[in-house]
Amino acid sequence: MLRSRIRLTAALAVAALVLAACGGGDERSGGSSGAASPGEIKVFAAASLTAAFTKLGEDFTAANGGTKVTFNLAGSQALATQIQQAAPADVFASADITNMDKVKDLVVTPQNFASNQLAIVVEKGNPKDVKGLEDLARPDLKVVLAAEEVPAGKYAKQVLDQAGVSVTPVSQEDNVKAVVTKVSLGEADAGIVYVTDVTAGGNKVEGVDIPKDQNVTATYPIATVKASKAQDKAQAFMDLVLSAEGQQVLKQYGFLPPPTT
Amino acid sequence: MTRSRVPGLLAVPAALAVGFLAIPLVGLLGRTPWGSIGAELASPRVLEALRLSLICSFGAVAVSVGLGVPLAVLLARVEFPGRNLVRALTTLPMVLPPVVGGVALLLAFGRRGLVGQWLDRAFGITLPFTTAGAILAEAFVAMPFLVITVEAGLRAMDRRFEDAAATLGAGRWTTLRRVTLPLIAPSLGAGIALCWARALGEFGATITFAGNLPGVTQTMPLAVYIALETDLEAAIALSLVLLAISLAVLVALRDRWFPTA
Amino acid sequence: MSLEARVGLALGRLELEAELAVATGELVVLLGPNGAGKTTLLRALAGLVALERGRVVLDGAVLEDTGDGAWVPTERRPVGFVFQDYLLFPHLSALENVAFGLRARGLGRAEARRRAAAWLDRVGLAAHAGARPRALSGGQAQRVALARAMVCEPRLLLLDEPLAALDAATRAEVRRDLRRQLASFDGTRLLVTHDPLEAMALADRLVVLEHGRVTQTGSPAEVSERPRSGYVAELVGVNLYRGRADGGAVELAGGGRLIVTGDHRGAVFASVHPRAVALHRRVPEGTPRNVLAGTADSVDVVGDRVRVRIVGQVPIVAEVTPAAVGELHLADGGPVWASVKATEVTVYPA
Repeated sequence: MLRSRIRLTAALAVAALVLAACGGGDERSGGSSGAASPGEIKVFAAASLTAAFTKLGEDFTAANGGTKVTFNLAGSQALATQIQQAAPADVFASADITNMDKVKDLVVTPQNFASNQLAIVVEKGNPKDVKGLEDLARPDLKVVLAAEEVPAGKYAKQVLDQAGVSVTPVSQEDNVKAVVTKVSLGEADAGIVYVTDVTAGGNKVEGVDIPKDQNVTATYPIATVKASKAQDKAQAFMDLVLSAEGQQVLKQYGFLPPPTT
Repeated sequence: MTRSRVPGLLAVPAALAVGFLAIPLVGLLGRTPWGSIGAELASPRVLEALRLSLICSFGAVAVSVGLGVPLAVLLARVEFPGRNLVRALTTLPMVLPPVVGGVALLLAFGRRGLVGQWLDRAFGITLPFTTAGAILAEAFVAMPFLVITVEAGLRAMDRRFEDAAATLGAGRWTTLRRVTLPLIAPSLGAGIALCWARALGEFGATITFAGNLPGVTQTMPLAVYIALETDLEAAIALSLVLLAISLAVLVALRDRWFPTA
Repeated sequence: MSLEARVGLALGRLELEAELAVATGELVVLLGPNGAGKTTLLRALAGLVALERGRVVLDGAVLEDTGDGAWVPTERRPVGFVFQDYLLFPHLSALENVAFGLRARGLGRAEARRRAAAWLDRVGLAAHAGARPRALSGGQAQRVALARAMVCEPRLLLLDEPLAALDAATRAEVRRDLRRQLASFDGTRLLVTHDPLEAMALADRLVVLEHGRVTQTGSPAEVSERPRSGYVAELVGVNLYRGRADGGAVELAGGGRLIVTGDHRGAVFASVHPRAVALHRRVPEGTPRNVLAGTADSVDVVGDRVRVRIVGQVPIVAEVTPAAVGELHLADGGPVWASVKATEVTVYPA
């Protein structure tokens, strides 16, 4: 009986390890380990860039003789802190200038490559009939926002403050994708995310526009990391992002061009 | 003095083990901003996280004891069909990555969950985003520790004491209350301590299921994680508090840590 | 007031089928080798082990009957049990241990403690009332265990090898004590032991249990004079044979025959005391009708006598003086003859 119990526990342990490998462990933002080998670059990018950059990564690999691109996608504040702690990144794309500034001594001159706007995300069919920012203050709504340290959260606060709407969120997620997840699972009724996240959220969610006069524009800078061991490849990736081709991809995913100033 | 019969070479891996466990702690203590730590620890957000952590961890222990001790008694004393399966089930949260546990809890007790939707419709009770939800998440991961320790203690106990109690006229409840539980008090104590420590440190399931809101669901581990992304020193200070509490519990238990028959 | 029990059950390798009757005022001792099922039988009477077949009636009240499913759980049986290693609750003091049964049955704390204290005084342990069991000596713990069982005034008192855990020196004294305490007990008493000395000293009636079956019952005198199994014969120290009697001879089951006196017929036991066996180095002449050939297998010194085990067609143990052993040079091996007078063979029906 003891033996079968050991076997069962062992089987469960193996299953858990498999799950852990696929589903990600305790940490929400995966840490990268080890320096990028030639033939591979590591791109740290804000969570909102997930879909667009994955596509750009594939394009890059195809055009650059198989150089692999691995992504570390998380809240920009988390990525900046990791870079400060000498995490091995080759490229850093942030969702706001503040977080890029945090690492300005560690990167080569950043350049703005896209901008984004905010939108309200709700479940498909808008069951709670959310029409605008004012509705988010309704007591019957469960609203989820990104934490203020996250660019999306900072922008959301700006937008709400500007509109004079006071919202008590039920949770402050540590990256913007988690906000979308909570809404798509039906746990939250509404959240404030980027316009691009609504598109990326698929058919479980839909967006409610925030009118231009209430909205803010998020500026996305990109830079290569000074400590990178694959500077030229990193630069090549950055060039791709800034090129007409790259800009077209970003536009496809709902991003706006970088501010002209 | 009796001479030990342990092979001397064991000291080498043992020393490595001590180093392995001690060096991270030394690192933590070394980087602690001793000057500003007082101010950090007194900040309202920290105190709130601490208060919440204590409430949730003790709450989780209460749930674990209320549900787990009866389960342990049944597992140890009653031969029911499927007993081995139930025992494997109780160890499941121990091998499951906590985030996976959190997702599972959402699917079960979330607003759209198996049981959650009924709770919502019938009683208007929702668990995600509430302190009760955090307690539930912590109890889910911590209860197995209690069940396993108490069951082991019950099995190691001489069951003839229960026979003796019966011959003296004690019914089942009386025997449990006045003989069995007092006899396994060391196991019960160690189980509660392990359960409490695990609940206190729980992160993945809590942030996934209960969310992250200061004062409601942002327990110490979550506060550390969020702080880590922006303010390393605050994160260290918070970590130190958790470390101190854990050490206090360990010291209080000393060699009652491992229950003996 | 009495106990009538028919017990049938299987536990592990043990198959217990035994019938037992104990009259009031009778102290019955259940004697048998280890593994015979004595403890199991006691546990079955206490209701700690369920019967597969059988019936237990105490003072006219049915405690268990597999025929109609009657079953009284242990805690409601008026039974007191003194366990082999006492099983005093380690987390309670001696006084609290003794008071346990009273409080479990609903008596108030103060009254329970008062009665417990009185009983501790009765067994001479008033000074140790507050002590924890681990601070008590073996003899003291035994007395607390007895007091704990008896304070509840059970109708049936079961004692499982009450002296086994004690060292030889304490045992004699505690045995005398136990006799006194048991004598003053007015319910039915059943005591289990594997120590023949204890059995003979305490019993009004002996019940011998071997391999789950009762092989013999009777007073200590009856049992020792007429053993009915090899086990009892060993205990008592006599040679025992089974066979078929036909007038003045018994054909032994293992081969060989014994000449006996009296007119016996049918299946019989034949016993010979080792004292009645003489040893010779040559075929003896003379009156002894039984001459058994064999070799000396082992020699055991018992006090100032020597027991010599002879193996041959009819194995036999002889009790002789050490001088005789020397004279016969038994240690050198070689053929030996044992002679037994027919008058020294006791024959009784099997």
